[in-house]
Parts: sequence; structure tokens; C-alpha cells
Amino acid sequence: MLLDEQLIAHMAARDEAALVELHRRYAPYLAAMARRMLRDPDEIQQGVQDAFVKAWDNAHRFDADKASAKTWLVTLAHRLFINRLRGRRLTTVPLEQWDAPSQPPDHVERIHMREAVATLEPDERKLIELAFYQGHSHRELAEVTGTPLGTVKTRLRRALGKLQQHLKGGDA
Amino acid sequence: MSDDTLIAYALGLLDDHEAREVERHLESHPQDAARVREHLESLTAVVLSEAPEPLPDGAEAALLERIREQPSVDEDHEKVSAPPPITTLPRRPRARSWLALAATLALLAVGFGALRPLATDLWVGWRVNRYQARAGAVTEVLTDAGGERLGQLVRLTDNRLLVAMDEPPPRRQVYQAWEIAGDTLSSRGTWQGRLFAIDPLAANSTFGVTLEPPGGSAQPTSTPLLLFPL
Repeated sequence: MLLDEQLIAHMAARDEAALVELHRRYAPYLAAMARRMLRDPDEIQQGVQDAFVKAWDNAHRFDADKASAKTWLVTLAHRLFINRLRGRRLTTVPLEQWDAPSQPPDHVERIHMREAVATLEPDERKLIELAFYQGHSHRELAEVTGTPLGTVKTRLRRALGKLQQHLKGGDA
Repeated sequence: MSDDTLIAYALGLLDDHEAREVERHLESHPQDAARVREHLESLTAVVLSEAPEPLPDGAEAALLERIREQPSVDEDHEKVSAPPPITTLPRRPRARSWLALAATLALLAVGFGALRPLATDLWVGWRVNRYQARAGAVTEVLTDAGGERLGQLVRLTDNRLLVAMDEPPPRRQVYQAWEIAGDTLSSRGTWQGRLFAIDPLAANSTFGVTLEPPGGSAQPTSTPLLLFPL
């Protein structure tokens, strides 16, 4: 089975089969993200399709030595969705500077990711979801949750720190 | 730059202006760039830990239909990719620099809707030239059974190939690459434009190309355009 990064290299060479395979691997997860962010079924479908068209168009820019394909794809899709959510034009995304090549997330890896998310306290998880899926700024998060701004920032830092620690294999 | 700002950037909370400022900062601050990478990896994990959502029937077909409605591959690449940055041109051999410069000028022309065929030729030539410049690269002319030229192939020492066809496939068809190793026939991918890079083929295998319906076929459905023993 080809790595995600190899699929993107094939996409850069205009291999439609590679696009279809990447779509098979990740579209259901991007659709789940889109559902949380966009909610409207038509917008979800359109948003996921937009993400893969953008990946297809930008595959030749992807650097497999520097970027994880799944992080590249998820971030690319998230930026599209959040801008669709806000109804404003696209922002630029630095696609070249991310982590090392990786395999598609298999069952074990997904379990590991779920375990990482499970390490979050309910208030931390809520903040992450409100910020990441709904695009609320720090200040808006403070208003929405009735929490002091400084506490919001601290909890976000702590939440991401926990995720990173768990994903790196340390105790969370 | 504060970690709160880097987190806000990773979460996509910054406006365009703020995001560009962060991106400029990251270019010269690798430690902060590494922090952003970590945050993005964590957020990716959040997304991939969610239950996947079933896709509607026809999602793949709709995606393929949409990308096929876009400008052809070579044209699209010419607009956005690859010629080396101007600052690196002086380090390159003179002939290649001139070629890259010509390609760049052609890209500008493409932006105004002119000289597209010329730009396509320059782009293909530039890519072929880059492969040919690698140590041990061998260039072969591809012909059909009647000896008519179809394109060229650059073969690297590890049996990686760059195929440059003289013409794109006919409308509503794609080129499909095949590897024949012993009794085993396997697809090596499809492409719509003129250029296709192929991962290393087995030694002593045969490389073939057919025209297939969009998306490719499990087995060849047409007479091979070419068969090329490696």
C-alpha cells in the first residue's frame, strides 16, 4: 500500500487513481470535520470536494520530506471550512513546513489518537472544539464559556500540551 | 512570539493579516515553526479520532468529474508551480537557466491567456531537462508499432521513469501506465496531461501505455500505444 505522501506525489503527476485512494482514506474524516463545522449537508459535500480539489491542485507543492500528508490535508480542509464558516476569502496556509512523512492512520493509530483526546478534561475539550470547529477567538471563547480570558488561554495551552505529550508516547 | 498566538494560528483563528505575519515570523524562527507543527499534529489527531462519516454515493465520481472540468494538467501546473525561484537561477547551468527564464516569461503570457501551447512545451521541456540532468539518466524516444513518435522517456538508474508524451490524451480518456513483470501485469497509474513520473519499475520488466476511460481500468481495454522493454 502506498504511503499518503506517495499518493500525493502521484497526484502531482495527475494520477487520478491516487486522488481516489486519498479520498477513500480521508474523505470520511474530513466529512466528519465538515459536519461539525458546516452542518448543512450540501455544504459538507461541497466543502469536502473543495478540499480534495485544492489538494489535487496543490499536490505539486507538497514536500514529502517536510510535511505529513494527513496534517497537510486536514489543515488545508480546516482552513477551507473555517473560511466558508466565516464567509470570507481564503487565507494562506504554509503547506511546506510540517512534519515527517507518515502512513495513513491505521486502526491502532486512531485508537492512540482517541486516547489522546480522552486525556482532555471536559472544559479543555470544549474549548478545543469551540475554537477549532467553530472558529471562536480567545476573547469569544471567554464570553461563550463565561471564563476569564487568561484562563481560556491557559486551558488551550494545557489541552494541546496534553495531546502532544500523549501522541509522543509520554504519559498525559 | 507567544505560544498563545501560535496556538491561535494553528486553530485558524487569526485573520489574513495576522496569519501572514505569523507565517513571515515562522520562516525565520524554526523553533516556533516546530511548535506550530506540533499544534497542527495535535489538532489533526483530534479530527482523525472522530468517527468517520459515510460519504454519499457518487462522491468520488463527482470529484473526478470536477477535476476533469478544470484546465488541463500541464496548463494548471504552468500557472502555479515549479520553475526554480529566480534567486537560484544563477547557480544553474546557463542553458537550463535560459530555459527556466523562458518558461517564466511564458507563464506570464499564460496569465494573460496567450501562448499557452508554447508554455506547455516549455514546461514539459523544463521537467524533462531536469530529469536528463541526473547522473546516469537515459533518454529514449517512444514510438508506436508503426514507428511514429509518441513522446520520450527519461529513465533513471533506479528504473524511475519520466514519461513526456508529445500530445495529451484525447478528451474523456486518460493515459494509463502498465508494468509487465513476468506473467504479472499491474497498473502504475493514470494521467491526463503530457507528463507522468513513475516509481521504480522492476528490472527487466516492460513498460506499457494504453488509453483508458477516466479513472483507469483494472486491465487494459485498448491496444497498447507503446510497449517499452526496460
